[in-house]
Amino acid sequence: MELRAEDFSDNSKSNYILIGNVNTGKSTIFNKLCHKNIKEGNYPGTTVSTSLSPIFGGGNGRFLIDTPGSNTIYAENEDELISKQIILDSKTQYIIFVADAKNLKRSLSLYFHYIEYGLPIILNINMMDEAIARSIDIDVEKLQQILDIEINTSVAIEGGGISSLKKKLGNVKIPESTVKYPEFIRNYLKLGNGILGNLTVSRGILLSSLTDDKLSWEYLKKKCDSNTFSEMENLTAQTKKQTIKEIDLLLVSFYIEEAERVYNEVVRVRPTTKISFMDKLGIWSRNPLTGIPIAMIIIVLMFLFVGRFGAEYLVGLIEGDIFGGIIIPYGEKLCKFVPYEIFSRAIVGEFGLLSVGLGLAIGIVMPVLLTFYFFYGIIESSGYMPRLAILFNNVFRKMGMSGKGVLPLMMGFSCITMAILTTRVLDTTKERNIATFLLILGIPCAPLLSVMLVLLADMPLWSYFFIFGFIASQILLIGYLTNKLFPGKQSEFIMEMVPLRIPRMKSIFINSIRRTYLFLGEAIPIFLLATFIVFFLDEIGGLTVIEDLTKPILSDFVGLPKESVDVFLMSIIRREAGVAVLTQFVEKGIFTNIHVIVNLLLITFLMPCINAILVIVKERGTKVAVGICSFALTYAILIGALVNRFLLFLQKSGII
Amino acid sequence: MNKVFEEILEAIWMCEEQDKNTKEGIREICHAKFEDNILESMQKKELIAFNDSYIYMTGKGKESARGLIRRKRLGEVLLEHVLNIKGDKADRAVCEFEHAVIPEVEESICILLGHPTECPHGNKIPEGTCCIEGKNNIDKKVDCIANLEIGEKIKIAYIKPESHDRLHKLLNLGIKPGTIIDIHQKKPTLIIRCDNCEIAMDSDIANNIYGWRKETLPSQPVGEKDTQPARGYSGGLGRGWGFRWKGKRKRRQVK
Repeated sequence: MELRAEDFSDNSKSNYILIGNVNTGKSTIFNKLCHKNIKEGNYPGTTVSTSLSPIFGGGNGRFLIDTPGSNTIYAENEDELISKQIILDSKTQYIIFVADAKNLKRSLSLYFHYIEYGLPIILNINMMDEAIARSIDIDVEKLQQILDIEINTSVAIEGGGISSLKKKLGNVKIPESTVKYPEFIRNYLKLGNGILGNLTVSRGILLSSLTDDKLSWEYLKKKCDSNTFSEMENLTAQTKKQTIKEIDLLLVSFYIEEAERVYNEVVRVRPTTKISFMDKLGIWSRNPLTGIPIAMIIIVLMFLFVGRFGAEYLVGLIEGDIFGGIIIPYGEKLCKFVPYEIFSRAIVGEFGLLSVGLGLAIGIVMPVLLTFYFFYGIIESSGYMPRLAILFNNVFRKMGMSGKGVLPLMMGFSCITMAILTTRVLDTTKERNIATFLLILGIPCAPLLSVMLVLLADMPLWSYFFIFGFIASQILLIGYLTNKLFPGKQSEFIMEMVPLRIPRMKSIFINSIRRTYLFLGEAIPIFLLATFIVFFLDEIGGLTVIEDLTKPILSDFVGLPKESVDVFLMSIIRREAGVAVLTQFVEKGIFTNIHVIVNLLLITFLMPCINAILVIVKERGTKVAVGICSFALTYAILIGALVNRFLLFLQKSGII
Repeated sequence: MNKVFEEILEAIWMCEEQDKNTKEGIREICHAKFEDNILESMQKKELIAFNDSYIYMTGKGKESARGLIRRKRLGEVLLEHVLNIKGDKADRAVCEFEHAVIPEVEESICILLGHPTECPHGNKIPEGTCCIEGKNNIDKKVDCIANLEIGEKIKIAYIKPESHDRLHKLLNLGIKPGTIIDIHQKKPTLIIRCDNCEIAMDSDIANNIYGWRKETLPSQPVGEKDTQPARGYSGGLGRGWGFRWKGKRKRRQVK
């Protein structure tokens, strides 16, 4: 559930907010505490929006809020702002600060930022297992003494330390800041409190007002009258004059200094030369010499698992044996009891609800989707994706993004709608626009990919290479061109590597079942509706009209059989539904291999589902959305025509 | 030497860089006001020669100007890149700098900064003797991390503040003066390691981070060779792309 800051201002609840650096496991803790299932992943920026849920077994209306991680509070990044907004806006709340055990110094430095807001806090040191694996000893008792708050340690991914965290939730405490500010800042704080008088404003707000932080100023404007406000403005201006350094960098350096002091007291790192296999694998996978072969192995494995096992074996089992052998023949028999023939056509006919609608969704999409989500889940939670970002940073540079662009584009193979939300991890508008554009244009999402694989399973091997090679080349080309065309600047690439982890198969498997189930729940009604619309059009003869109308474009220009219009009608509603209808035509033998390839490319390049378009409008604005979609439409048709002619030429020359 | 003389010499040097050492041009950029009588006394000291429209430096004058410009620009680098001080205050400080700094201090600053070749405004910094020696003696040099080899360790001396945003990001990742980092991978993207974390960054960013080389990671002492397994991983995470074959596997002796 996506939330706005206003949702948290209800005073009757006690809200606990999960706060911490990126990739410290906040979402994992959220899931464990609330028995929820929001997205977790082993790469920075998995969470891009907030979630709210009651704590399971927490009693008396305790709610937990998950926030995107950030490394600083003096930032202007959307997702970094949101956690601050929540802290400023609501009243009764507590912070659960999630620290990363293997990098306690950085976590502590952010911790010192946050305690200035004067909220009760509890420190949870997560990923203790990784610290142990790296021979990092943390003296938790000593840390507890120094910071004077309750500390919990956890290995959230295994569920360790969650119940003790739940017990300690009542023991939150407002700690005293030990950060040593210089004279002029101490003076500023004193004077600032004097000006604000009985308006109690936390030191955090006063300090961030010094850094021209918009949120804090808005907060002050709301809280105090215009006199006090302008007095505050004068005070900050005067204070800023007392240093020649930039004040936010100065503040951060105090927090880091204090964090280093505490870190040196409680953490011992034993020297070790032993490096685990996963670490070695992590190193190999980001070096081009070894990394590119590893990437290829992953692609081949994925092809074998999703393409062969999912799209051939499982589909054959469910669609061929169960639907084709049992359900549809029985359905046909049952339909005979109904006197109207039209009813039988509507259920098991050419565009029947059972034979096409349900058959496609459950028989074809479901098995491939399940295998795909499973494989994708392994990649996502292993921490492999940031390594791809390193391998392809230079390629993405040419496409106007930094290596971080790998994250949303890879996500696109799972779900375009989600991926468009993930473009928030990119730093500049230009990069977000390019990523959104490429996602809409050329990335096939998991359901589409599934039906494509099913279709391709019966085609010659070269068609795999042709289709995916063509899609990849188009993404590179269009990325390169948009980089030249789109205004704006490219951000710099700086990213922390996460350690590779052995994925936990059981939870990934459960999660992929859940995702497939959610998908089906959403898609089946639409599949049925789409089938029914096409059936209805077919019955009243509308299909022939539309076929005739689109003939100049589809048949004469692109060179496809006129039946492809059914495919496109379906794919406007859902892309994978279009391909699923295509499989029906292929089985009937109307379409040649070339027609199928051109059709698949057209569908890939055509705009994606309605959801994705709505999300673009929301994230990028109507103008960008209309621009992107109309380009995609024209481009798809042109590409279709070109590829058709090219393949026909190859066929005539006897090459394929 | 007279401070006014020094200001004039500097101004002539800067004008000569742009090939327009006219009197007017020099007057325009010089911090000190001067009339012909001052120029005459400079001429007497054999620092310059001048006519109605142009001013030239003599060999002696050039030598002094070179030192002044060098100190001034080193000062600018020091303030802006290392101390992160910009604006009016920096300008004022630099103005005093060139007149006050003695040669030994100048050399130490130059070594500290890694013998920079350009000032923050992009002008050339005249080479000193330490720069020429420094080229031969890489150990003493402050170097950009982009120039290091895989496995080398460096203690960050300073980060050129190209943008505030970037400094902020680096600071929050713990990359700041004093941090010890080692180079992990150079291509396709530079990866460094600090505080138990690996951080990947563009070469644009790396080009702005300077540091002192630490001794490279200790290599395996010869005597211990036999106690180690015949092959395997060595040298910590800093080594190349992860593994290194250590010698050939010993063949079993057949008796």
